[in-house]
Amino acid sequence: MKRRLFSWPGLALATMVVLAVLPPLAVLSYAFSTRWDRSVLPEGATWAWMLETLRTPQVQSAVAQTLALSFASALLTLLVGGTATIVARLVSPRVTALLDTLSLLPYAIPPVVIAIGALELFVGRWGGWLDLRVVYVGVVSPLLFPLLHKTLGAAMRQLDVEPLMEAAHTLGATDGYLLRRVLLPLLAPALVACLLLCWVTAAMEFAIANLLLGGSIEMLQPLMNGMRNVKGHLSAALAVLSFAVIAAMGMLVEGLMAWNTRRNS
Amino acid sequence: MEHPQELVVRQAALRLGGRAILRDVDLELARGEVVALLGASGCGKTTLLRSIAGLATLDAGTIAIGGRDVTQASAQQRGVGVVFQHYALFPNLSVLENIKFGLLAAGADQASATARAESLLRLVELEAHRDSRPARLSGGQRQRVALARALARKPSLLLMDEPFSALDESLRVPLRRSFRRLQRQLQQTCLVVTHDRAEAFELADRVAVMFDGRIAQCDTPAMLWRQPATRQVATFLGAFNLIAAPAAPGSLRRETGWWALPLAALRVRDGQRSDGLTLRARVVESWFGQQRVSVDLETEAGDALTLSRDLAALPLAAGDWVELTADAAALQYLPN
Repeated sequence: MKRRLFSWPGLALATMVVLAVLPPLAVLSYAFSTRWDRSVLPEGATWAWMLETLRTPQVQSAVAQTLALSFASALLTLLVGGTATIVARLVSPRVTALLDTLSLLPYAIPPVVIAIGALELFVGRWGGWLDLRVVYVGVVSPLLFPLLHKTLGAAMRQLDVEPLMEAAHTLGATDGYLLRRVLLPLLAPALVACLLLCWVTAAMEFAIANLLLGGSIEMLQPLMNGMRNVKGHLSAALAVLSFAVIAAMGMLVEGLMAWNTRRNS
Repeated sequence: MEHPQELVVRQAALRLGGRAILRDVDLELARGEVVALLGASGCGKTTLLRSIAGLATLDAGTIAIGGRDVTQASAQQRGVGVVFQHYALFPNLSVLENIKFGLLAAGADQASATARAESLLRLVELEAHRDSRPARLSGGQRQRVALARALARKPSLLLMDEPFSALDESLRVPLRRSFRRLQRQLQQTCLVVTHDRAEAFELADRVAVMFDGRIAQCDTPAMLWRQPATRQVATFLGAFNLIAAPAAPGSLRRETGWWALPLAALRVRDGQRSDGLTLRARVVESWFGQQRVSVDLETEAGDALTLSRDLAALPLAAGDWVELTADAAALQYLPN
């Protein structure tokens, strides 16, 4: 039987692939080409932009600041949000439902509004007494909560925590003992995965970094955006480097989750 | 003794989502006794067990364990052992650590907890698996770990929720018999929830048959087979022929009610006189089992009957009319 060469689902899939892959491919080509201004296709291949990007002090400083501040935000989310999610699950379904609702709030309020609010509160009206980096961490952290809450919630559902809690209670154990001996060890890979996901997401944040820290502390995303019109090749090289780091972290998260699933099955 | 009963449940009532799950349930267990809560899905048997374990709160009624009122006590404070349907073993802990869990949570030192856990491992014959994780064990082995874990703190009362239902049929019978031997050895008081009639009758000293949140009858297996309290119990047990009393022959006729007759008591009349029931019925269909043939019959009055016969008996063809008989002593009148 002859196979049909054309199908609508095939066309839709191909279109999606092109739309998703074309922009990163273009950035990749720009980062590794000597020039791309005389024809439709890029010309020459070079590592020069990559090396120059890595050697630029401004980039090095932005990468260091971004990694530090995004890690602090992710860690704060993990400590506060992770505790809230786990305790809610142990205490009552109603508290979990409340956190489910709260976790939708960051999607309802645009980051720009949050950034302007934070500026008003901590920089404009009462500014000066609080370090901007602390303000940044405090503002970004709640935005990461939905990511953590959903990921951790899914991991707890997969673990089927309720029967373990009931078994522990009938054995005379407190929630704290259960948490220490069973739940935290079982959830450890999920917690590490949450931390990495939150870290990556915070590192990619643009609006708040630009509005809140712009002009005083250089962050990676605003820098990349700023370099775009001045040194396009360097900006592309920086985007490729960011993508490589994020891809590596994403693979680490994936690997941890797969290992956790295998370990508990 | 002031409190000879290990468990006393009085007028237990519980509603969930507006629906009555338990309706004024009374239940008593003597020390060393095994009682099976038998009923269909949704009859409230698991809810009753969870209420006794402290995992569900009663709306009304009281629960006393070992003479102590525990109605308001948390699950941690009740000191009962529970074997869950799917065992709920801690997946990150080894078999030994699972068994030690409750002992260590109660403040026992490592050495005494390990000694107790190892003695239980010997009891359930799992010494070779002491360091294995639950995921590495078979269903039967997990069931035995769950049992050992529940027994570790020497509970006065052991609660088991469908403990053998997750096992293959070939494993179920030997495991429940080995449990029964162990229970007799330890003289452990035990309440078992099951929907399996064979399991209930084999495991328990008494069987409590539940319908719709109530215990309809709680009796020894022998009494249940002989004298079901209601038509509903007789039907659920599946071991009785029910004959409508208004259509019964001769002196057995009544204005209302039913005659319950154990399947084993109904036989084909062989010419001898009988002081009890005699009637004619038409053969509808025959079903061959492993040890007996089950013959579906219909009486002249329209009652459906089942005749259980030896495999070696002469076969009855569909459409044949047969004369049936049963001794009067085997008949039990059920007013409702």
